[in-house]
Amino acid sequence: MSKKIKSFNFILIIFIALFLTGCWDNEELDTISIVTGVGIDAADTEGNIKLSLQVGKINQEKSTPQSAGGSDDSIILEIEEKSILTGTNELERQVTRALFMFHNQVIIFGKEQAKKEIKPYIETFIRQNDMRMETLVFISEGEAKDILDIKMEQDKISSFGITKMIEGIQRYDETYSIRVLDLVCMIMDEGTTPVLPILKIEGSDKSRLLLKGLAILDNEKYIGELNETETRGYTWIRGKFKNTFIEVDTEDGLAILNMSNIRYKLKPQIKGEDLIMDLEILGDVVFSEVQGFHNMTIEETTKIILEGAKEKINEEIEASLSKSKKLKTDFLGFGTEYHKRFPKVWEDVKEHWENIFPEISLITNIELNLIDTGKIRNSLDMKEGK
Amino acid sequence: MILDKRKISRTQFMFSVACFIQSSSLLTSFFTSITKQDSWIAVILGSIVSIPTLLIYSYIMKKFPDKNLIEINDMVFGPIIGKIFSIIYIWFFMTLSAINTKDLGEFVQKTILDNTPSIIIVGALLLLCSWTVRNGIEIVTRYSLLFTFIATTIVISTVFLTINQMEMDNFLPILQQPKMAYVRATHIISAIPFGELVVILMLNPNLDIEPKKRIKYLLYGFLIGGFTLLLVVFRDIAVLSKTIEIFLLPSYETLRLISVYSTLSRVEALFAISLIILMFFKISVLYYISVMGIAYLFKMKSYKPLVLSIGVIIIIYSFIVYPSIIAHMKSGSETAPFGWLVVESILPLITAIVAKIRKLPEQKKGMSS
Amino acid sequence: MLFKFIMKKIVAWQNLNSSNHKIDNGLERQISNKLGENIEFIKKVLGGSNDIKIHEFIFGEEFEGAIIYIDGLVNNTEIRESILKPIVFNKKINKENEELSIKEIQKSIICSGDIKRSDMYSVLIDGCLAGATILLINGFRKGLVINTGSWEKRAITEPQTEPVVRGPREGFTEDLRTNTSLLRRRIKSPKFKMENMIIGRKTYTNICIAYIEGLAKPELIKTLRYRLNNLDVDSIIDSSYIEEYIEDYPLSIFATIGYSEKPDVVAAKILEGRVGIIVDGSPFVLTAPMLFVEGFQSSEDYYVRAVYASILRIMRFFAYFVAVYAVPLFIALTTFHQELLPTTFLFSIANAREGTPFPAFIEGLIMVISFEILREAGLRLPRPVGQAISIVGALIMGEAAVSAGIVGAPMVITVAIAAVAGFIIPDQTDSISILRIIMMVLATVLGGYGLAIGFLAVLIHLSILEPFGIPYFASIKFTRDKQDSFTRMPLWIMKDRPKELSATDVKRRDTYVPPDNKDD
Repeated sequence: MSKKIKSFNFILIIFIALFLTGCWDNEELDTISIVTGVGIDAADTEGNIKLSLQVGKINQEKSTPQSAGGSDDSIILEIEEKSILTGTNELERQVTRALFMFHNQVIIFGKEQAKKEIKPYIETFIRQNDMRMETLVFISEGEAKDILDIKMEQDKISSFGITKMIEGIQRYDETYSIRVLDLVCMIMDEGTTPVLPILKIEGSDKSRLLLKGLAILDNEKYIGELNETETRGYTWIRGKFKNTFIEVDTEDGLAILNMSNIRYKLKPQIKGEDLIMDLEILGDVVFSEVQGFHNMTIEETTKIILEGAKEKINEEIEASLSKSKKLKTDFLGFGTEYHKRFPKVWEDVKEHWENIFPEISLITNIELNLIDTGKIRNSLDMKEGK
Repeated sequence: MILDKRKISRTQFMFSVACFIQSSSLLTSFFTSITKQDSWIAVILGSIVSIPTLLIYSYIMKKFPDKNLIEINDMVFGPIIGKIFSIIYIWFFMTLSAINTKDLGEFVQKTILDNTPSIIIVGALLLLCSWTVRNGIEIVTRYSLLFTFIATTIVISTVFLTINQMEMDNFLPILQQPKMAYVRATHIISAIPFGELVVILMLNPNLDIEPKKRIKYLLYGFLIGGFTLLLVVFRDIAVLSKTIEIFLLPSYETLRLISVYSTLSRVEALFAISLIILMFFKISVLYYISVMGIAYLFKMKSYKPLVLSIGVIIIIYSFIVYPSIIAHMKSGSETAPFGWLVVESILPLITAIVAKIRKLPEQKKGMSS
Repeated sequence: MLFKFIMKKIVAWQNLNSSNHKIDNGLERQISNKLGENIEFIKKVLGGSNDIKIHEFIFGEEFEGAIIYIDGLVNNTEIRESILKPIVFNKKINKENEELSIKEIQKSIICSGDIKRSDMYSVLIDGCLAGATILLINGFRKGLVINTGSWEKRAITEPQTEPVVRGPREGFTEDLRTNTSLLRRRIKSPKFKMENMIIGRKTYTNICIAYIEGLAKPELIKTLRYRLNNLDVDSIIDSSYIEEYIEDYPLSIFATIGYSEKPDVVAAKILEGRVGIIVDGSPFVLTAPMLFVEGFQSSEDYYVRAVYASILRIMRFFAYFVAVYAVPLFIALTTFHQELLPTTFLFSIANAREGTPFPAFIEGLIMVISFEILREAGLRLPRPVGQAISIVGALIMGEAAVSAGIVGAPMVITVAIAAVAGFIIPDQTDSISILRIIMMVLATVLGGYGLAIGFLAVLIHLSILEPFGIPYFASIKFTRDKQDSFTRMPLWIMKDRPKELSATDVKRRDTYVPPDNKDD
């Protein structure tokens, strides 16, 4: 009995000793610096990148209730290195605190770097455990570092500002929120060219950011970008609008419609030798603003406006499609649709998809359903309806 | 000779089976890397394929209601061949314990404690398990319901939390993988989570259920576990889409993506909690069974002196069982299932057939009376 | 294992001592028939204490008698009215037969309900010390022990430890008889048994085991009786002494024997098949065995509406988790898993932590220990001062410590939340305090993994505990007869008593017309 107890005590003592001697992963909060954004820019030397990290600054002063809840400043760390990890390792030797990547909010590639390549750097963000898949990815119009460096008016740390901005936009339009996961999916999908939103600095004191459209990355290299109309077209085809405003500018007047409850159906079809995409868009519209339409009844106006709206949507879609055909790259994801619905056919065509793709005709069918005219029925300029 | 007199009730048994399957269901990358978006088909096929094996187990359990596997081997094959069979089984149980210990250690080290020596991580858990094993398996099967409840709640709630990220398109195209992929994945599923249920043959004498009804509770538990596995795989495919094939821990990545209005986010801790709890359960059961197997093999009076030494052996074995994660993955999806198949299905089948031919339980009854 | 070992040691030690259980103190002898000798002997034994009163008198013309009692333990009026007066005024006493005449005195003269005859000094002196009056008569070889015990006692008041809004307000007092009467008034069944025993070499404390025959498990009663009978100690001052001597797991952090100051609580527990142990001199009645879930059951749960009571139950379990895990979790999150905190929250914590000198663990330890000190100070001091201490400690010191930058405000908040949550479950306060510190150490060493390990270890420990052979944690197994654990079902649903506790009489009720007039 006592022998057993002795051996038990022995193990217990060893265990306690092991326990109390080391706190291997214990990192106090004042020994880490929280990285909130990563920027990757092209460097002059071949094969190198300019890595900039945005680090949230912790207030040294005693926190008062006003300042608690978010620091008001950030630091930019910059280095030129071969890869992201060598860069962070190098930076860690320069700063007083360990770099903590878990809270990274955004990854921004400079346009110049995007023209070279982004794929090897994306790899780091999915392999490392301290990188999260929900981090947003962008391409910057100028240098990524500048975007990280700006102080936005309300959110002094720009990466928080960007996340909040995307969260706001996401309620009605999902095009611009591309997470690492989405990017990786797009890269892995057969027959889809990845796109990334473009950020641009705006404002007189350079304190605002603008989402300026989408960059197209064929083979993970920047080859062109979509302007605003083309981006809208892309959004229509990919079915990412939750609700949106449509500006209808006709000869008679101007109307702004709010479209909501939008349902999409993108259906690939094969008719003989031809590949046809069928796009159906159904939605409810509400008049938000109506200008002009002098001496017209509400019925006439409605007809004109709805026709105009359809035309407008079609225009946007066409713009995007023609861009796609011009660049000979399938960022609209038609290939993926064929891969999913017609895997057998896809096996045959995937080798020369970039040649087949421009042949595809897109048939759109838009149906808009007016459900409300807002608080008033007629516009101030309109004729009294009977 | 019964070394552990504590009895396992029917609810406990049912949920222990469920818990046992669920603990493997969280590490799905063995087959998701093979069948990709069709993994859910593999899960269903795997469950169906496993049912005959379960029937063999229940046949053995019915025939020898108060004997465990080691005793059954001795009875069916005689002392020499029986011992050889028993040693194979014990080796299998020890290997399983070591692999699961290693799995947990690696998971914890990879995701939470990357600088802590793995001996501490594994040691802490095994010490806890040894405490449990010393006090009998009923100590831990008593919690099987609680553990199953925790795990299932986490799985179901995460399904709801990720519902806005799910896309049914991610399941397309269906059935476009090479045919061998399905066979392999089915095989893996039937061997790794389901086939490991062979351990219940060792718990046989502890069951407080009428021999004929054991099959019922076994199947119920199997269904709960299988359903959870299916749900997990379904959720992961719907959320992760193509990327499911590249991640080693798809469920973990899925949970990391949860973000409900940016307030309820970063819930991957839930996955870690349920994994640690379930793995603790599984390792305890496997550890207990290894200890019992050896105790019965050498006809010892008490299994308690073995507990700590077997624990140390399991820890050491877990360090050397696979040299690296690559070897582990390779073995998990290529070689291991075949070895497991022999132990999990073929050996019990032989046992059942020989027992049937020799009409064993009756003979024994005649001898004793 | 360790507990079992120590328990075995204790049992062995008790057995060792029980061989010389009754120390011969010269009292085990018969009394003499000379009154003078007897008085002399008793005076010698009791040492001439000034509270011993010996009153000699002559009655029936020729009999010399003496009554001996301890002043303050007896009712003087009763002695005068029912012993002295009848004896002294009664002239007709049979003088021939000693046996007959003592019987006559006992049966027809003295007006008292509780008289014992004895010829042993030990019985006489024990009776005297317990408040009885001894009547000795010259020439008789037997003495009478007449119970006249009556002493100053506290009135039945509302217990301070378990105040209720709704429900009975009576509380036990220090007097055994009062306590048994309080219980008897609630359970009038003839099967309600109370067994008496006397424990304590020096204190001779009266102890009473109360149970309902056929409802409490016979093994449980047998074990308890065995343990109590074999208990040979100097003194039993309070019921907690008994608790500590007879519990199965003296070193476990969880109490396996419950206590209550309220007769309604004890009666309810006895009606579930538990055994009550009433100890003279203690207003706390023990109930054995105590199961884990009992710490979360308050008597008021059964007096308020079932839904509300269930919500309170769930809240208590939640509060237990908060009380134990809030501080360790905070440490684990801020030193290991910063990635799990929302980013803005992390920044505000980081701001608060900036410039504080200690690591999170030390900071937490300082706060937790100072909280325990404050709590103890508040309890021990007289009430008005205690409140002042709390105010100074909680408000001023906390505020000053934060503004001086010694500890961070988030840690103070966490410790405060944990402390307040701990107060909801008074029965488990000690286990909470210990677990909290253990978990803090685990969280500091292994972070969340350590917490998971700790959680599992507590579960296993709970599972191993089987006080009196009844699973301690059994009530939380989600099985059918556990309607009274996480929730408190309406009384008409709880028709079975807890399965582990009750022996044969399992049904609480046989027939009942439920609210929807259906038979079930």
